[in-house]
Amino acid sequence: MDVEILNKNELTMELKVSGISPQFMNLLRRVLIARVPTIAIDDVIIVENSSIMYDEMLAHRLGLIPIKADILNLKEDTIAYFKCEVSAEYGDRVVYSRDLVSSDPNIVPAYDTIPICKLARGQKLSFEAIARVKYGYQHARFQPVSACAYKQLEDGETFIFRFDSTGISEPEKILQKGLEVILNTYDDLLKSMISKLKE
Amino acid sequence: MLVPIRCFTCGYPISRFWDEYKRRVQAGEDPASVLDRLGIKRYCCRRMFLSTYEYMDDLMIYFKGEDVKKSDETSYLDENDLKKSKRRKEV
Repeated sequence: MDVEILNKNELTMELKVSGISPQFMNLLRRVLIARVPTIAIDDVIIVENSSIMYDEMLAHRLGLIPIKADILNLKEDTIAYFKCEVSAEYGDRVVYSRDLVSSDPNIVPAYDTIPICKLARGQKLSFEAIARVKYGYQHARFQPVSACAYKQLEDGETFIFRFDSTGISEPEKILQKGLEVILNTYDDLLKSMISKLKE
Repeated sequence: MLVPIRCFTCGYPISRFWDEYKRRVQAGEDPASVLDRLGIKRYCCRRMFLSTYEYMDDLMIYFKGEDVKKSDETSYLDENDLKKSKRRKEV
């Protein structure tokens, strides 16, 4: 088994993996999409919303904002609170993701320039949001990767594996976490097999 | 309503580029070259930019803000807004 990094930047990683079966390559792909713990806004408490946008749509948009955190040290019960209070006093005002104030300086929106809502003069927006750790199989907003795919080369055992991070973490950390998840799953299986065989 | 936060197909967070895209296209640049320079490669993400229309801007002028509602003297619609809505009807 051999890995060669073809391309890497802050969001994308392209690997050439050789000497691996298609089944295992697909396992890695599916684990990255669905089973890497990720943090995203899960609950929204809307105090005041006099904008045109409905509360439900606002909550939906908030959920989709990628939230940057140290993915390797996330615990199941990690929680972050966000507060946002914006009023348009003089003219139209766009509410951006940078207006969210986090309770934890290490868990913040990955980008500052995501437009959340637009307010006309005199309108107000005030809400609190709770971000929780969940998995991609529960909802797409908990996926750490956007496009994640591989291509099989002619010899049948070499793959070009390419994935994009959504910005929640560096791609190499997502890959590391994904491999840890696979290892832990099989480790648990091994342990329970051994304990069953001892009975 | 507003730009979708992520691409519908692949989930790439595209909305962070929206302000720059809009500014540069309105300044007369070619959308294709702007998208190339922003690093939007896949065609699923590119169509998000090309097909977005922010109809929230159109609706906003017909809604009154909370504090404006209380005093009848000032209307939320100022001259510019009225001009805008007239222009839209002409089109």
